[in-house]
Amino acid sequence: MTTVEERTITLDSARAGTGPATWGQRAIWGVVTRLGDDAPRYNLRLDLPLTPPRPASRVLADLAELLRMHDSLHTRLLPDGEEGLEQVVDGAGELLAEVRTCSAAEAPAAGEALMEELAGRPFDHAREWPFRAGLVECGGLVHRLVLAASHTAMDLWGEGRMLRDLKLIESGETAESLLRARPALQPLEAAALQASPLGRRRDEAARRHWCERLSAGPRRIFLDPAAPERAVTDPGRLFPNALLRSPALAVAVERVAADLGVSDAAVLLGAASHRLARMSGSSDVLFQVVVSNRFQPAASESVSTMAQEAVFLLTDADKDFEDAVRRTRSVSFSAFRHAGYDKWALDREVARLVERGEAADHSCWWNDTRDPGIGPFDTVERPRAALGELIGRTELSWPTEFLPRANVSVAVDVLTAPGALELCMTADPAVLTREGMEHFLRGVEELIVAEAVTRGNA
Amino acid sequence: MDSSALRSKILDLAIAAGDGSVTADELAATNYSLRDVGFSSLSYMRLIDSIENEVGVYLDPEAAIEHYETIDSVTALVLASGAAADA
Repeated sequence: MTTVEERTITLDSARAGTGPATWGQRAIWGVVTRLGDDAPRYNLRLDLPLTPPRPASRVLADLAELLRMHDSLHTRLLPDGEEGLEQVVDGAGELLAEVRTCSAAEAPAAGEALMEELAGRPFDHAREWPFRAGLVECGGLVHRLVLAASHTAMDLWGEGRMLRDLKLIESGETAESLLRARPALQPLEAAALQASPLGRRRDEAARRHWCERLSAGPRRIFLDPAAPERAVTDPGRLFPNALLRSPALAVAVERVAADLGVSDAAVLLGAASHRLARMSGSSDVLFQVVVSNRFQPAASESVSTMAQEAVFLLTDADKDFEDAVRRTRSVSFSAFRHAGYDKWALDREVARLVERGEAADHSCWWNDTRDPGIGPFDTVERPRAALGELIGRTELSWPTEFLPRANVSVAVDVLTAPGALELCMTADPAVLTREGMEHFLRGVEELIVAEAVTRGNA
Repeated sequence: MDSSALRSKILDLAIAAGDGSVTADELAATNYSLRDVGFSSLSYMRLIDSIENEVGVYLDPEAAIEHYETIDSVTALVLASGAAADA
């Protein structure tokens, strides 16, 4: 039996201010506002077991300290004319925490249900903070803490930083001590930088770079799509999702990267580009690459939404793997350098290129979600088996199917798992069959593993 | 800023960009080779960013990899890309 009540988290004397929204806030606000009732699919959601369970008063106090630390959690976004979006950081206010009381055995189910309830409702960004909290209480102690946040408040990187900071606060740190040790860029500060002459120059340079690459890239990447008629006749077609979990890839990518003097991220993106070029028939490939935009230390500590898409165009990607990887390094540097911009302005420029038939196919996506501070062998012993044997431990599964996604032919995420790397791929069945998806994923793995074996034997 | 001061500034920025992973002694021991001290891609991005913020010179990230191999080659690239040197 679950009972329902609310408790209040009170914020007072926190930083406050008003200013233009950041590029990241504008980009995500634009997306979720367009989605309307479907916006909750972008909400971030967490159901955290508390071990040991804690009194509700402590949990609520810790959340108030977390709010005090990160402005994005108590920020509202208000449209300002045709083109403007304003961020208002409230220095005081109240957040209601939903409380569910049940037996300890029921807590996991109650936590999951509460998480879906909190994250399943759209946020009214003009009127409410983009953050919700819930507690599952059993026998007078909180067993599960449930959090939901709008994507306007944080990206996945920001969510990781928020969780780390919450744990530190639980262990006795304060917002003040944490910010003194590791200053975190707040969205009002980021917006001020973006509005400065340097910021405006970077925005213009980034949009110019985007449009130049988009004009130069291939008009079509998949020259022989699997079922092109389905794009018209089957608008509701589901997009399969494949997950390749590979211990061999985790070992091999490090070896190839070290040998070539590039990052493992460049090896993976270079291999994916090479494979895509070989499979698609287009020698030049273009990915929209999601970039964290957290190169400077204060940005890396920020709980906010900063990730944006870069345009990555690799020419002659099908020719030579090593050459593709080496060029991926410099081309991705340039792409990453131009990944911060006013998305609304860029969207208008891209739409003009598309209208004139001058835009490259930009429906392939790459998102290396890995945190550089977390490796696959941090908690798991590095395997001693040879790569030839390790590759036999690769697992391929098909976890889900997604509703159709606009302007997506293939989307690949890179993830770190204990003892393995994961490549998670979603593809439009009008472009690529399930067999084609498997062929791509195993092809990337085999390419890197074979290169590592060759280099290991050299 | 003369070229020696510029080099010294870039050395400081590179150490800061390493975020604790690179020391002045380690760089000196490798003849100021960023590659030999294992300068990461993230650190390169930070360094390019810092040079634009603090020296006012925009470096082309697609410049040949050799330009980014040592403190001296980065200094030369900054000079070639627009920083005025007195000497």
